Amino acid sequence: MSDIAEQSEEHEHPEARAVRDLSASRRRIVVAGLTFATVYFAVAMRLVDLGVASDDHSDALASGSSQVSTARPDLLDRNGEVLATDVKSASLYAEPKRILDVDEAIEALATVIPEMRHDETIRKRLSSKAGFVWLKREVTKQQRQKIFRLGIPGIGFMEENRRFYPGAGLAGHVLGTVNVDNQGISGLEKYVDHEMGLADLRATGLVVDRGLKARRLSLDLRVQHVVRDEIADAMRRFHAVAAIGIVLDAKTGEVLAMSSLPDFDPNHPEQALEKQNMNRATAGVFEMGSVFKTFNSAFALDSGRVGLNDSFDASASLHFGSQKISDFHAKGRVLSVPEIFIYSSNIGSARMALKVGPEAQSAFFDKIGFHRKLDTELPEVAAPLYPKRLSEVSTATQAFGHGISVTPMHTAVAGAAVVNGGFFISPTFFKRTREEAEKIAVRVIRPETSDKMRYLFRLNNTPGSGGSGSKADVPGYLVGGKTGTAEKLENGRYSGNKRFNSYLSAFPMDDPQFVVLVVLDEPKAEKDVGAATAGLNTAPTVGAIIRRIAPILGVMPRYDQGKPTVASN
Amino acid sequence: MLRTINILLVILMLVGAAIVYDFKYEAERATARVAKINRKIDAERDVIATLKAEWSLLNQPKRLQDLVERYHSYLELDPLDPTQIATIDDIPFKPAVSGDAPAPVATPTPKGSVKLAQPEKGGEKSAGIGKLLDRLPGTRNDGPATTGSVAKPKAAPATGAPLMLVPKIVVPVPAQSPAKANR
Repeated sequence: MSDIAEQSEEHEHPEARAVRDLSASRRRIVVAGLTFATVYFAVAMRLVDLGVASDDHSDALASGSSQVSTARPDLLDRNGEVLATDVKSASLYAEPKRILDVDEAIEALATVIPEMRHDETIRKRLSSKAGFVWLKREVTKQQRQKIFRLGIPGIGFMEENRRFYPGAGLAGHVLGTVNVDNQGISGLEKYVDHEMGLADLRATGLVVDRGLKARRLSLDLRVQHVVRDEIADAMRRFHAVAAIGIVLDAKTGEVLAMSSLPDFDPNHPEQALEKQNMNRATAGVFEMGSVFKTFNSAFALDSGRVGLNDSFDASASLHFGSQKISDFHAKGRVLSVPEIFIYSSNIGSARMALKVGPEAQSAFFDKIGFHRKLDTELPEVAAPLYPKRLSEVSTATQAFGHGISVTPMHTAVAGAAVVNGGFFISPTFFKRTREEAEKIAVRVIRPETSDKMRYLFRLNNTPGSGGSGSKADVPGYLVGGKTGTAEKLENGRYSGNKRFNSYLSAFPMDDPQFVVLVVLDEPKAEKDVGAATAGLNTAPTVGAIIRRIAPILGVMPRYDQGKPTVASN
Repeated sequence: MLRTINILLVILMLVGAAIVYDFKYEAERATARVAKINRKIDAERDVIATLKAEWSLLNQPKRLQDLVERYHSYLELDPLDPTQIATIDDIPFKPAVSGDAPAPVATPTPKGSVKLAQPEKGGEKSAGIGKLLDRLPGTRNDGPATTGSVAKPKAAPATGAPLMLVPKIVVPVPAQSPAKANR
């Protein structure tokens, strides 16, 4: 207000003076107005600033919620039973900036969670300048209530999703595991993450919390339980190292059950890392042994150069240089093709394969998937091991399942192709209809060959035929199958007392719906029974499984079927 | 004239302002209510998810099998045998009775409730289905109900009505069957 002009004249005209006064007060008003405007503007700007700028608290919460384990789709079995689901649990977090006294906070928390008192990392975290730190994931309800009551500033809870598997170890290898952030790290959990792009969404910070559609698997909870129960029983009974059980839908390639013991509980993902708990069904390769005679017979019959009525000399061992092929149940005579199959003659099988030739055998094994990884959803799949160079001796040994290592799942899928009319269908762990299966089915053998193979399977199981699989028969369900008793390789030599037994079967044999494969690793003979051959351990296990699952799967028992016959030969 | 219009307009404006004010607050209240309900729905969903998980936990085949094995002497539940499965076609028709002869009546035996009350006698094995028939609620005597889950026995079935195991099946030719049998 100092800029008002000095009054130079004492006396002037009153009008002129009035005019001068008026202009002076105008100027004063403008100045005052400007001042107020500036103040109001400053206040307004501050308001905008307060409105726009987020505070540390919500910043911290935002960074926390981006770390919260997100929702995952439920995994259901084929009938809608829950295999894996999310349950909410609370996790304890802190905002170190808002904590007034670290020691006091730790002291208070330690009254609820005692191990926090001497935890240096917790102290370090709380003393840091970070906006948000986790203190403890997955706190119980009681602890949560107590901590709430303590009322420590800067400590709070965030609801998190935790994966829960009600079946515990029931289908651990199929379902896989998730990490603490609820991201799939193995099994179908990993596949689902990958397939739905959940991993990518999370990376961009877009996290969906709800509305994820449940995924329906091909597994049947009940069948899975039966298979696991029975192979666990067999494992105990025969003191086996490991056991594998697979049930496949022969027409669609759906995996109804897959169990590999010992297994793990996905609620405790750390168990999955133990080597003995590996998934042997798809991630382990083995020399399957005599069950390969199934594929050998199929390929020989399909070539047209071997017929069911042909016979081969199995009286003497077969020699390749220093190597000798002999029979376990040696009959010492000429055997027909069905006899070779049911007596499981190595010599006969080798002679059959050699008659058709190494190239044809290799091409057939390639067709039924023995030369490539399984094409399925499960990430844990192993590549088969097979001789890259064709030779007579490798052809002869592969005829009875030695010198080639495939996964049990490979065997089951190829078995389905042999009995279902000759269609190779890649296995799936999700639901698949017959029409969808027909689209991807590849014909590998002629329907007539499949008929003959079904006859051989049934013959091998028919009590009284002398077949090795007669203990797997369940009256009414027309079970058919092939035993396999392979000697295990130990330090480069085949060990006489360590075996790898398997039984590949299908039922009902007149129109096979389901394929069942059971494998026992290193079974020992029961006390009162002499041998530890597949016919005495895996075959009865398959029988027990079929007896329990057939009613579940809706297969009607029939008793009107006579002796197995083959339409034409 | 102009004055009246002006007054009217002022009143209209005031009323309009009041209505808008009310709308606004109504909307705010509604938003708050929606948010509250949404939170409730979320909470309910979480509870449902937890209950579902619990349900499947309690329904695990492994658990059920263990229970069945543990209480085998009482429940006597055994795995299904393939020979026990049959279709409705496998069951023969009721033999046709000629004339006015009364239809044979299944007379219930009164030992069912006694049997249920004595689970320690598990070793006793009688004909499987006959025992099950004894336990059907309608066939039991008015003995004491042994467990809460078993329905209290009702009045004995009216004499003359055959004991129905399966729900009534409509036999396609009931009217002509006696005549056919006479031929």
